Amino acid sequence: MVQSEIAKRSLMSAVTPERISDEKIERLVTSHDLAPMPKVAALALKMMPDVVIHPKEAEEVSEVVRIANGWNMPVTPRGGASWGFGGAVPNKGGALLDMTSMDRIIGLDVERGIVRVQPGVVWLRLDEWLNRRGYFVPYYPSSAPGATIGGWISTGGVGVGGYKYGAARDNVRNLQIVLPSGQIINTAHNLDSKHPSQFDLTSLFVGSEGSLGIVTSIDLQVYPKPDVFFPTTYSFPNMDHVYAAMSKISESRLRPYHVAFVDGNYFRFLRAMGREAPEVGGILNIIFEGPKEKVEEELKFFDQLMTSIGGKRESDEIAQHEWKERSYELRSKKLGTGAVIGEALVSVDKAGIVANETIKLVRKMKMNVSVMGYLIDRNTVAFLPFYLTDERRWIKAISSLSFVKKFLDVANKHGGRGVGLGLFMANNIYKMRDRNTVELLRYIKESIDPEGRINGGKTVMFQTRYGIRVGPRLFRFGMNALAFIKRLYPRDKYDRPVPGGFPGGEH
Amino acid sequence: MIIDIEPIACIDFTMGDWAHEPLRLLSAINSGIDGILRNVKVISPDRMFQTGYDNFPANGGGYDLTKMYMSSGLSLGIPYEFAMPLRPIPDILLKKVYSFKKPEDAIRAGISMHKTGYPRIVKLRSAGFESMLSSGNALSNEDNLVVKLEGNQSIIDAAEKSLDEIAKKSGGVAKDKSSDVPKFIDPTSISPSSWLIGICACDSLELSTIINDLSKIARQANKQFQYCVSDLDPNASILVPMLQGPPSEETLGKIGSYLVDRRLPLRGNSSWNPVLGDSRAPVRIELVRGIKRYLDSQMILNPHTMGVY
Repeated sequence: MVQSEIAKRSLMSAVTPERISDEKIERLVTSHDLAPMPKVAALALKMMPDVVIHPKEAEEVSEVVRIANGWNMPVTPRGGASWGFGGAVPNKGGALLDMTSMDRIIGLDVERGIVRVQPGVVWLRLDEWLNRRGYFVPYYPSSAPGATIGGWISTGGVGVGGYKYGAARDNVRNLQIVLPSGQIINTAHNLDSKHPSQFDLTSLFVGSEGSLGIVTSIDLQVYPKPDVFFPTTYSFPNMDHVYAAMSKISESRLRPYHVAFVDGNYFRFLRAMGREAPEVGGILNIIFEGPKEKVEEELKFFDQLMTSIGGKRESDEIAQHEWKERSYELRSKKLGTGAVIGEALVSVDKAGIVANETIKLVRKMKMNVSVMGYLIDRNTVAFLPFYLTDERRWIKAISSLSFVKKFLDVANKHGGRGVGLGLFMANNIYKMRDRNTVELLRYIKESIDPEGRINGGKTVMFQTRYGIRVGPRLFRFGMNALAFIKRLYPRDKYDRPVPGGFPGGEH
Repeated sequence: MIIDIEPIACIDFTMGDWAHEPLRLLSAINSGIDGILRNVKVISPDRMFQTGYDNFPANGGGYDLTKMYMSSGLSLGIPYEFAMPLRPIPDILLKKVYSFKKPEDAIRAGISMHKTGYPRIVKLRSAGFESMLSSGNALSNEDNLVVKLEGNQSIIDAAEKSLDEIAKKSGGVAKDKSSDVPKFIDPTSISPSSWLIGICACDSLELSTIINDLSKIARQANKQFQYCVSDLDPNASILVPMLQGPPSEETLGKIGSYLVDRRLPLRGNSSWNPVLGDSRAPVRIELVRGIKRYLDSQMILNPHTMGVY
């Protein structure tokens, strides 16, 4: 009997039977994230886990990790898997911890405004739960209906509301972590990371993509529910106007709650699906919240500002609709069979340049890409271009993946960087940090997890199922080859035509 | 030295400048600047590294070492450049002062004010705190909440109305307001006869108990006790307690025991910290010790903060 089989049996005898499974269907479901990979990827990556575990408590996670250690079995934690970089997908098989089963909201400390949750709680559910108690969580991913708190925090957590309230890293007060050794620790002294003391590890684990340990409980700063919540939508004739408007907002003295944009291609995708969508160059959604007088004042100020740049204020009904749609931006993926999103942070003053170079890249690669994004602070835009994919045509699907790498190259060239690393973008670490720091980060991973069992071969390096490290040169060569193959195909088309077509396109 | 103010401030503490300003730097760190720092460039004995990202310091995925570094008592290396986001100067920046008879009333009101979303920051200063500073004048003979507000005139008007009501409910009285906005406590401005006995991160709900207890210890030692709470928020606050004149070893011992019992970590570089650290979080400390050994194999930089003497 091979070692992995013995390890699996050890786990199955230790874990409550209804919370562990080696059924093929369950393993298949957990073998991909938002970006489905063609079967051929299995040559390099063992994305199918050997066993799937649904833990309920930290002690259970600790026990699984200790058993896996004994049999040298890789362990991959997984949340809602609403990301596309492979961070929540095994690369060497092993045990997959489905953290969505740890979904208890443990409690709200009303006086301190701190909520404690298990990592599998979904953001939308937490917000609804808090709303009933007079509180709200103002920062969350756009995938809030499906994304788990643990998952988003592990990616660093930039998203909706960050412009005013900061990212997850600014609002996590403590994490309970099961280390690769199986030990359980708190990352913050006195459970408070706002004023870090005593070797606070919170920001080290937030954004570590599950590679340093497994998050089993999270303390989050939450806020009293605002008196007023008011979304507005401004349409612009082209995206240059949108980027100029964002620049003006970031320079202004008042700070709205959230500022997000969507380009005209997004609406083209929607029209192709038969949905009603405006014919505009792009839109900017500005959301306000707070005391009534403050919101009124901010609204007056930004209304004047947007009008002066050529923005047209859409009706409140449209603004409400756009706000409700913030979590469903990938509705159009039904035109294909899935969607792949790139994600980069770019300084506000470079947004237009990066956008224009991305358009050139899109044309070169014969693709149709929609760009959306939002301001995450006064000087940074999160840029999220996405394209529709169809993995039934696997050569084309896999060659299209090179777009994400090429897009990140464009962002890097202008001082930007990717939001995360995961598995597929792990080699980007060299473009994000200096060599000394990369070596230190690898040392940290190795000192915490010497055998690389917990989500190993990701984030600080890219390893295949055989433990072979794919370096940046080989990765770059592979991606360039894929981009070349993609360019040999005719321009992307969909089962349903896009009314009016894309700028410069064939439809 | 500010080398780039748009859109990110990179404050470059090159060795020359830093050597002249260690207290000012430590003061900034201790006063809560770490909460907004995005990147720190560090020289450690064996290598240089960055805690965050160099290009432009925003959040995102990947290991971020900023809080770990800032809470290490500078034992992981010497910082030579900080990056932090700046914001445009608001139309109006206003300091508003409310006086309270008891610290617990002031704390309760301060937390409620914080929750309205109006104040930029809320601070609390004891009645005689200003007298501990070389240039200070007492604001009043009562505990004072100092609230920093910003925005345009309409927002300030609405904020004042809301905060005045909260203060009144807790027995507070609105006193002065001025555009002379309070800065962080700068040790170089502390009067030579005043003794800063530690800067502690405290649970805000226990703040009034801690203030009363420390005040009692000071009274027993016949010392005048004053304090400032910087960044009073519903969750945690930073307490800056001070004594008039040098404390005796016995008084320091009592304060030390009290802090250990209360599990209050002192911020910055304090020899009390290893006692707290070793006894309360051995795994976390051991983990950082491994990183320390990588950065400083000879353990020459502030080894006592790691429990190494």
